[in-house]
Amino acid sequence: MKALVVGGGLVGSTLASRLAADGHDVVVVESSRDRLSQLADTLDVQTVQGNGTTVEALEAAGIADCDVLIASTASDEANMVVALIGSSIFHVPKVVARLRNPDHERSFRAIARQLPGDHVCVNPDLAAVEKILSLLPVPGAADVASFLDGKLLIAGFPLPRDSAFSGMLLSHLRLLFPERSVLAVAIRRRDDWFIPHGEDEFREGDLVYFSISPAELDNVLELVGARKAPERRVMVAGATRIGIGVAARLEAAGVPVALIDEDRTRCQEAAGQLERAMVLHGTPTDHELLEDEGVGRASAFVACSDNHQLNVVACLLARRLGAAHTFALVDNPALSGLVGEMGIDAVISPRLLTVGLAAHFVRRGRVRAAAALLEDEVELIEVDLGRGTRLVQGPLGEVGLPRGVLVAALLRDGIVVVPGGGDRAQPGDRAVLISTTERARELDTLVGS
Amino acid sequence: MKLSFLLKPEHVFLDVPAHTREEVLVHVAERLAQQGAVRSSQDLVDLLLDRERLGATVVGEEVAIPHCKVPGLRSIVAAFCRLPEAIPFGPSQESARLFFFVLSPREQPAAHLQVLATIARLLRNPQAKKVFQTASQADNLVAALGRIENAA
Repeated sequence: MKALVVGGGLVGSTLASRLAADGHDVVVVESSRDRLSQLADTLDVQTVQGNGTTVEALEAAGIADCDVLIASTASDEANMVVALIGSSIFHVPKVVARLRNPDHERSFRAIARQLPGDHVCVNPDLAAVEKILSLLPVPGAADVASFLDGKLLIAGFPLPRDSAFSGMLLSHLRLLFPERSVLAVAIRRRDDWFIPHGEDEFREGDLVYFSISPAELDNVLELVGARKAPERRVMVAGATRIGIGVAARLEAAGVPVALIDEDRTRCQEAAGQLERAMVLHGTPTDHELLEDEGVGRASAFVACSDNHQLNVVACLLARRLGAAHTFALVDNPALSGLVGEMGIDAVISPRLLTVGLAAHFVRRGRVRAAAALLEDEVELIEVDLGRGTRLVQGPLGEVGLPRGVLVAALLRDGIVVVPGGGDRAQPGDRAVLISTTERARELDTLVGS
Repeated sequence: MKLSFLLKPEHVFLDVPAHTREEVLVHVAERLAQQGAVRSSQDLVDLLLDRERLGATVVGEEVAIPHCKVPGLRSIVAAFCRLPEAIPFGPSQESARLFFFVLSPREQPAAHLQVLATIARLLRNPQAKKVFQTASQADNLVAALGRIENAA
């Protein structure tokens, strides 16, 4: 498949490298010569220098025969122009536009509806808000995504030494949860990812992704050894689109929220958009302010400012002052690598979430933001099973599921079924499958009809 | 959570003459009822069998961990039972000789799971396994178990 990526910033270049690794022919269009020569040196992709919002530059990059077009410049307006040229003039079958402003997103959708091909907007801010909101109710988790209309959670926990799981065999989960309401679906051990089997062992330091029926969540938290704050009270630093978005959703859910920002104008804007949340003018690294506002009693501290280094510092301070859990927006992969060791519960990278959503769309099709994982090493998909899919041709133990691919759950008549090897998937079921990204191509042969 | 805190010597039953799944469950339930740990042995057997029907609690290497939540129980009760010979204990005839019973109040689901996890982990320790296989007296068994758990 041929993919054209317009804009070679962090999102564009990361996405280009993922698509190239998947075996696609990738061309990157970028106006900055410096950035372009850097890309050409480090990635196995073609590069074209030019302004991607012009028909000429896109033609020179080969848009006429490309299968996927990804508009990932830093400007919403440019991305809309690129995507609309691709759809209307060149009829590109799959088009992704990265748009941050919800107004732009609405306009784009309205126009794109009239055009041929499949379109998707990925919104980094919205993806980050969704991710933060799914992390907050699962203290101790480094990642959470929800599937099957919220009836199945997939949550990744780093196992501390005193966790009841550390040292257990995976097969023992069947003893604790005989109805398979809790499964271990993926494990990262040091830098290796694998889809585990019954004979594997949970080890201290593993990052374990569990699939969890929501009714068992408290039991899993207890076994993991996660600290649960007695009441929900959230402090958000940064009246950015993400910070305000998180505060708005929390206040709507009845959770007490305080929002801090050092810019008076942004505070006023936030106060205008929020109803019950308390908006405070001040620096999120101000020791006294945080203490006065009760950060020590906060169930979570979420740093959402545009200054990602400041986010890390603010989280470390909040943690020292007693916040039960801390979350930071961090886009720089080098920085986020360090943060895990500093005791911050999770780092959320809006850009990498965008990359994940776009890559998923290219590989398969639409994905809800709530189903995106922070890690790209595992691929989770939710699909409706048709009559012709291989998965429904016999008991799951006999349809030839490759090692490293797992059926985590089925939704049948509104009820979640966690199948064993002797059970069958049925046409009409919705299935959640998981695999490591390197094996993700095998998923297609299982669920394609 | 340490099993040696939870397991009282009077709930350790060595060399029990049982030959079937039912016989083991009934034997232990009756002993526990006699000691006043549970009210009704018949109710306990029914609850344990209900749990076995959800999925056998045999975990391999001749170990089974029958367990259930018991209404009205005040605190968690652990018991250990050893047979002279392994017997079939599961739908696929998996055999078991060492039986760890865990009975929990309904109100403590998380603690119940913690105890099950503790036992599952403990049995992966060959030293601990050996104590359960070979101890000749209940007191010695619990004392040896305590030493192993404190050293871990």
